[in-house]
Amino acid sequence: MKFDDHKDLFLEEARELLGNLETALMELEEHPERSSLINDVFRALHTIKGSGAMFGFDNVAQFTHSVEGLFDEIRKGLISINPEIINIGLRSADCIRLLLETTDAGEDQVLLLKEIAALEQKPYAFSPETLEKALPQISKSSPEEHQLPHVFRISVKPDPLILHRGVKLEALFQELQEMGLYHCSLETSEVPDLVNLNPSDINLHWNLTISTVQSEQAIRSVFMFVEDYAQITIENIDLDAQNGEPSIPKVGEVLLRRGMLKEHEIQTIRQEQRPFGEVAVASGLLQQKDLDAALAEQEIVKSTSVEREVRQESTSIRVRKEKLDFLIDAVGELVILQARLQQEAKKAGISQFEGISENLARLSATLRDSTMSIRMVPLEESFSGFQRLVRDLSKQLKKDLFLEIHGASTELDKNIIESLKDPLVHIIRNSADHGIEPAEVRSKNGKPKTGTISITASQVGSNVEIEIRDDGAGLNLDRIKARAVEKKLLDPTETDVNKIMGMIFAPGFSTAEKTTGVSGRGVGMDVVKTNIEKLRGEIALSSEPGKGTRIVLSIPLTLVIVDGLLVKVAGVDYVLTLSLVQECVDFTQDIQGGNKNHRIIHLRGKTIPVVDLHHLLTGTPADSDQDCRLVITNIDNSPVALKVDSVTGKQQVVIKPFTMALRQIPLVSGATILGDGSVALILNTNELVKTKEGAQR
Amino acid sequence: MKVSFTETGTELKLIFQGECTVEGAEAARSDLMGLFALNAPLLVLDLSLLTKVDVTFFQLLLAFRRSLLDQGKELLVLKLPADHRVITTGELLGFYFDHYFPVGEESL
Repeated sequence: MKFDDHKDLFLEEARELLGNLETALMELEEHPERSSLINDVFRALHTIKGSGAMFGFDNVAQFTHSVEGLFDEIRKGLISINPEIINIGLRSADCIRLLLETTDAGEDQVLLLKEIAALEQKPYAFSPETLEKALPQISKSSPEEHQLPHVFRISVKPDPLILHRGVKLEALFQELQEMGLYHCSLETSEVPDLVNLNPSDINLHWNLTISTVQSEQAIRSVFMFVEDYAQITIENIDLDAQNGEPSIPKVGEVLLRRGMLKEHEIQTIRQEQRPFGEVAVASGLLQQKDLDAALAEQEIVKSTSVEREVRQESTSIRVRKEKLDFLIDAVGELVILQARLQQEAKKAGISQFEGISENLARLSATLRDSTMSIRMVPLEESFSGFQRLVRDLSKQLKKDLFLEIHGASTELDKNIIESLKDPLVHIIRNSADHGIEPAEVRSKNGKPKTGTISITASQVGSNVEIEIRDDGAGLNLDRIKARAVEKKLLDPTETDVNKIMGMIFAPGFSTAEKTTGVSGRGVGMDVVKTNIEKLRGEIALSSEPGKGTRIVLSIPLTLVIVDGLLVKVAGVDYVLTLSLVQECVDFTQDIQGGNKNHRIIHLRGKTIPVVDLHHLLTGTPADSDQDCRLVITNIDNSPVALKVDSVTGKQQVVIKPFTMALRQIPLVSGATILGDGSVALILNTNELVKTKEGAQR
Repeated sequence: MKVSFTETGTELKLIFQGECTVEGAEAARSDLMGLFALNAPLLVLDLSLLTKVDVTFFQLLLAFRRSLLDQGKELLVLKLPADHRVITTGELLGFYFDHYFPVGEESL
């Protein structure tokens, strides 16, 4: 891999870390007492600084170093968390983001450095309580880190009568041994001579070192039933007490922490130009068995550190997107080739050939699914930025806003996630600006002062549904209708609520009296609709006056392979996206209505317009309607019947994107290669009904 | 637990057999106390016939060692336990024979 590739990986990682940084800062704003969040902030800054310096982003490293210094003071409890610091943290994140793109982040960078310097010199209210609360938690690891091993030192000092309580110490220790790497050192100084010994009383105590992926709580639970009969202390010893990062202690440090040697003894031993342990034992300051125990502990910390690195490296790997796209393309080709082979095998009628072809079909399906899953990433990466957005909107609009996120772990194709970001930002802005009422209005209406916007993601079949809901005033249908009529987008007699609501997605449509800088220019919701349609997705909108608005985006899990419905029009194969198809019906006389120019059908009490694809795609109507079929789909919350010559069946298709020139054809969104090697166009259903022919429906 | 001994000149050989656990710990202590009357300056342990031990066994050995050291006598292990379970119980509890006793040639 070239240096530039590494640089790109760093940039990608840094952007992720900035997202984590913002999330932690905003959580910290809500929970300033959670010192583990300070650690998260510190860790993100520390990594950005270190990697930045490594890849030549000196400005990033220098600036981040200053911000890191501030949070180090906070970690030490010398400065307390307050809104000013959170703001500095968030502005610093913006600054670092800018520095990653350019070499200069402008005035705010200078301003921030001044503010940070002022804060560090300012004797902020030093609170011993904060320090006390913060320090013990610094060494605590986050839940995901529990997957990685940590080293714990456990001191067990049993009550002499412990065996009389029926406790089997061996079983207890056995349980600890099974947790991971284990070393036990026995302290015998309190064992009396034989005359004074009561053999069933225990005068021993133990220092155990274990390396385990289990949490401290899990270790403590081993002692659950002996807590009353033994003094147990457990401490995590592979994280540096100062900076909370993994560190390997020197033997002297281990002995000091174990109370085997005193600081001045260590200094004396270190003055000798011989190995530390050798001098310590030879001088009589230390017994060989205690040195062995310290060395064993050090060895466990070392091997745990290696294990952590290996695990961290092996749990994830960054791969350039282009490489992944190439792999997906190759798998797509394989799927097409396999479908062709299957067809040929059937034609040839050789059973052995068919058997091999079927096995290959299974294998390529597995390969296809595994490859697709590599591109699937959780939505949380994209969602994390929305907390910041809502926080900023709250300040800008002077409204109390709260964002709830559910289902952030739902996975979606990475390309889709990137394309979803803008539409979601538009929707959230609209909810915050137009949906959520000012606090005084909410109070008058008996609503909580804080308006809530919630985003919920879930997987529904082969789609992901993202629901954006607000508890605001809901859509003002009268105003939407009036504005739509005024703009000649709607007939004044229109009463269909769905149609009226759908107007908010019309280009340039806005009911806002004035532009607020947040929204109101009418260039938001139509972009949302266009972008979602580009993703082969759908938007559903509902609203209740005074209660709020709900928008549901339904997006296919992937853009590369989709379930398609293969249809024939004028002897040519076309593909319709199956997720948009509601049903297929025969175009029989009894359901037909309307006239030659405006054909309709009556289906189960509903009047549905018909779009003749033969006419639309060839320019001439079909000779006969006999045996024609209708594919019922849903456009803008209304059903539409697409008339086709025949329906061939369902098929999973690999979408081949068009070159730039062909991308201008709105009626088709791509092409695919069928099992017989022929090319079929994938029709863009939404665009079909917008055409002249569609408009006549 | 059964503790037996043989005396050869200045050397007293102690043989521990079977299970040495809390149930027999008091009896074992009495057996060992009885040996103080003998004047052998060197005591050697044959642990090869042990089959099961618990924490009380190791504590008993340590207390015995302390008493002998107080009396200016020496204790060494001639034969380590042959049963692997005894060794692993010792390691589980942090008792490594060579930490506390010189180990005789027959054990090496």
